[in-house]
This record gives sequence, C-alpha cells and structure tokens, in this order.
Amino acid sequence: MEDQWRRETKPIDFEGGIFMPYSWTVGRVGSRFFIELRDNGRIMASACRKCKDIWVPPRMRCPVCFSEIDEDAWVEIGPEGTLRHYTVVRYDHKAQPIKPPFAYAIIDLDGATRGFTHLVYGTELEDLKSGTRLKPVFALDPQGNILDIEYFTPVGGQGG
Amino acid sequence: MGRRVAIIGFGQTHHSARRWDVNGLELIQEAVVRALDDAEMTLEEIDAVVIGNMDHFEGINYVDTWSVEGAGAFMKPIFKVTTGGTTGTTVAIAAYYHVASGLFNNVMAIGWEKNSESDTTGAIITCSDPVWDRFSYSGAIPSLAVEASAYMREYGVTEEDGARVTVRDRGNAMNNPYAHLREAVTIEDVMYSQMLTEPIKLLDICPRSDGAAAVIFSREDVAEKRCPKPAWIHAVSVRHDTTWFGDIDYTRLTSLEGASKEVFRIAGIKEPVKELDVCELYLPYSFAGLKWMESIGLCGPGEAPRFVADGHTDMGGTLPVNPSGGVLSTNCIGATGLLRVGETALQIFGRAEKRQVEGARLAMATGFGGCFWSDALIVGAGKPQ
Repeated sequence: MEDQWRRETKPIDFEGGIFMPYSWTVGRVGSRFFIELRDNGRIMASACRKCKDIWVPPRMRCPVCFSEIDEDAWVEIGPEGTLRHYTVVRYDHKAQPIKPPFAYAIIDLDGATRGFTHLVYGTELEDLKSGTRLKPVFALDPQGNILDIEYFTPVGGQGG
Repeated sequence: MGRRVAIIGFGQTHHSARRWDVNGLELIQEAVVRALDDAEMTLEEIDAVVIGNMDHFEGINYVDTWSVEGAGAFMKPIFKVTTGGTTGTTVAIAAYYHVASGLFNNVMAIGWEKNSESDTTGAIITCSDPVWDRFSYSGAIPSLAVEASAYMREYGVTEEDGARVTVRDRGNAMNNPYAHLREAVTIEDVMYSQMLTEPIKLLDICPRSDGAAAVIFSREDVAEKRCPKPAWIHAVSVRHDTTWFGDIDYTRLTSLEGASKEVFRIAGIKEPVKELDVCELYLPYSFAGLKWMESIGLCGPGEAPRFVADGHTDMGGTLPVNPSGGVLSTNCIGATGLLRVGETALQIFGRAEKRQVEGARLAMATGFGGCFWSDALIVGAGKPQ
C-alpha cells in the first residue's frame, strides 16, 4: 500500500510545539492544606460525616456522596503511614519528577481511610514491601505545593 | 427505553507505528470510506457524526471542526466526544444514543489517533490534576504497575502469568491484516524485555499506533433492509470511579465491575462465560488480561491465571478473547475502544475472516481509561428484547 512510495520518498514532517504556562487556582480548601503543610509540616484531611471517609487531600464536598464537608471537620493525619501498593520505576522520562530508580506509592497515612499518592526512595527499593512503615521527608525550602513533602522513606531507614 | 439499533458497517485503517503516507484527516478518511463500503452506504445517508481522539496527542483542539473533511461531515451535525482511553467506546455509545433516541437514522462513530505525532506520556499526564496528581504517576504505565503489583500480591500471581496474555494477543494479531504488531512473541520474550516500572516490562504494555476506525449505527428498519446480519446493540454502560489515584481500590476495578453487571443485567446474561461467544476487551497491558477478567465476572477472584493458562480464552477455547490481537497489538488510542466495538460487530457479521470465531452470536466489548474508568457494550446477532 504505502510501501512503494516509502521506498522512493523521504517523507516530510513538520516540527513544532506548544509551550503554555498556566497558573492553576488551588482554592480555599487546597490553600489551607498547603499552608498547613508549608508552615507547620502538618498533613490535613477532611472527614465526611455521612460516609465516614477521611479524604486526603481535603475536599470541599465528599467525592462519593457529594455532601458538603465543613472546614471544622478537618483532622490532622499522619505524618507517618503504611505502604499499601507501589511500583519501582526503572525507566527515565522527563515528565517524572526525579531520575529512576524510585517508587510511586499509595500510602495509608495514619488516620486516613483513603490512599495518598507519593514518592518513596532514600532506601533500598528491593527491601520495600506492602506494610512497610513510612515517614515523610519534608523539603528544606517549602513552597506550598505537594512536593513540600519531598518523598517518603521507611521509618528508621536512611534519608530522614 | 431506546429504540433498537444495530451496527451495519465497520471500517479500519491499516495501523502502524507511523503512517507516513497520510495526515490525520486522510487517516480518518481511510476508515470512513471502508465503513461506508462495508455498509454499502453512501455518505448522503449518514445523518450525524460523533468523533473522538485523545486531547493533546496531536495538539489540535476543536477536532470536530478540524476533522470535517476527514469525516465527510460537510454540512452535517458533528461533535467531538473525548474521554481518554475510553474515547472509542464512548463515541460508539454516543452514536448509539443518537439513533436509539429516534432522532437520527444512521450515525457514524469515528475514533482516530496519530500517536506518532507527540510524546504519549507528555500528553497523557494532562489527564491528571495539575496541582495534586501530576507530579506522580506520570503517564499511563506507573498506575497500571501499581494495580498489577496489588493484584499479584493479593493472589500470588506471577509475571509469567501476565506474559501469557501478551503471548495470546500478539499471537492472535497474526490473523489480523490491520494490526500494528504482527509478530508472535513467547513468554521468554516478554520476561526478558526491558523492565519499565515493576512488574511491567516493554512487552507487557501496548504499543503506540497511528490508526482510525469508523462504525455505522442504524435504526431497526434500515439495519434489517441493508445488512444481512446486523450486529444489534443489546446493552451499553459507562462507569466512573473517583478522580484521584490515591482514592482507587487497586485490588478491584470497580468501574468495570459496575459496567459489566449493568450490561449483563440489561442483556439478560446470567452466565457470561457460557452465553458469550467472543470478547474484544480493552486490555492495555498484560495483567489487565487477568485481573479485569475477574472484574467482568468471567472467573472468580484469583482464578484468571489458571483460566487463561488453560486456554479458555484462546481461539477455539470456551470464550475467545481478542481475536483481533487486542490493544497489546494495536493502540491508536482514540480509535482503540471503537476497534473493540467494530471487531465484535465483524464477528457477528461473520466477516472476520481468519480471526472469525465460528458461529459467534453474542459478544462483549469494553473500554478503559486513565484513572480507572470503564465502558462496556453487548452486541448480538439476535434482536434485543
């Protein structure tokens, strides 16, 4: 079909790209979470009174039942937690926050009922297993974003 | 209750890593012309078009407008539906809704992708919330790897168990002249391919393909008059779970459980393994071919490795899965779900040639997207109730 043409022709492609800076609104609920994290090193969650779910990060409304979550119903959770699921990343890509190897993890922060997505490293990744106790390593120069927790690492391990 | 609707035509491109010979519009045209030919229909008879692809993959935003001359939609109603990985099944479901409503006679669903034109991971991470989730799980592979590791741990599943799914689908692709990867692989090939993010290796994951698909949905009287064996839509379902990766229960695929239960209920299917003749499932990586079989209800929790290893899902088995070679052989993402739907219709038409499941009368197609959402459809030879 295209074979004969491809043998005879070097096809033309047109190189281009889009770089679009954004300024995303974090909002009142999210800002409170990040300010607590940045200024006090505290991880906050919101409790849905109806579902009894503890959501981290906090939400304005419960994702499941859609009822409003009062800001008085916030609770401090963690900062330690338990590794639930993880994958050790072995390939490099510029979209990833750091060079491999490292782990992406779902962490059950103490007191939460839903998982928290973050990075795990600063340890022998081969030794990780579901159930490993983890602690956060906070950034030295917090900016008010999710990487104010730089990563999680095993309790009692190196890197903290 | 909607009106009866059937698929009467299906067209797809010859898929490959890069279709250098056609631009996006011309790629779409190839599928559209083949679908019209397949239905023995003229473009004038198409009342409306629903088209979809992945946001950001080609850097074109209003694809409905841009694609008019590709879709043959000049002076017709056309709009875009894009739902990530499920885009192809969603355009099918939206086209079905059009005809089932009674407002349209013949509607064409189109899914397409020029995956070669950008960086898949760079484009796909825009599905994640930029403030909370995008730093993590960048791209499709890590979240699937977490799902796989959760499943493996829960049931003692091995990497070899996963590899069998790749071996099956890639073997089936040998029978499909349209498939992108048409080279059989062995369990050893999979096991020794490059580790990406544990336990997913290069041959556990789908390729990136250029390709398009078009499917024509018609109302009952048109279908009966124009198609010797219409592929009737018996049931459709769309289910979404939570938004963020941290909130998912990785030991189950709750959206697929929900969608499957819904379509089985509507279609009156009590024992899917016995009643279904063939499945075209959106399995973007090998371990999905285990865990998601259980989510659909084709076997019990932890039973899929044995079910697959025993050959039940092979061609000639109890319930052949992915005669086309599936997503592991061809993945032009916006078209991928629609290929599943089109391939099930082809099985009902009895025109699947070397990949035909003899006497197929009832088939299931699924779609899967990003943060674990699912579509499901049941297509059959008999008229639905």
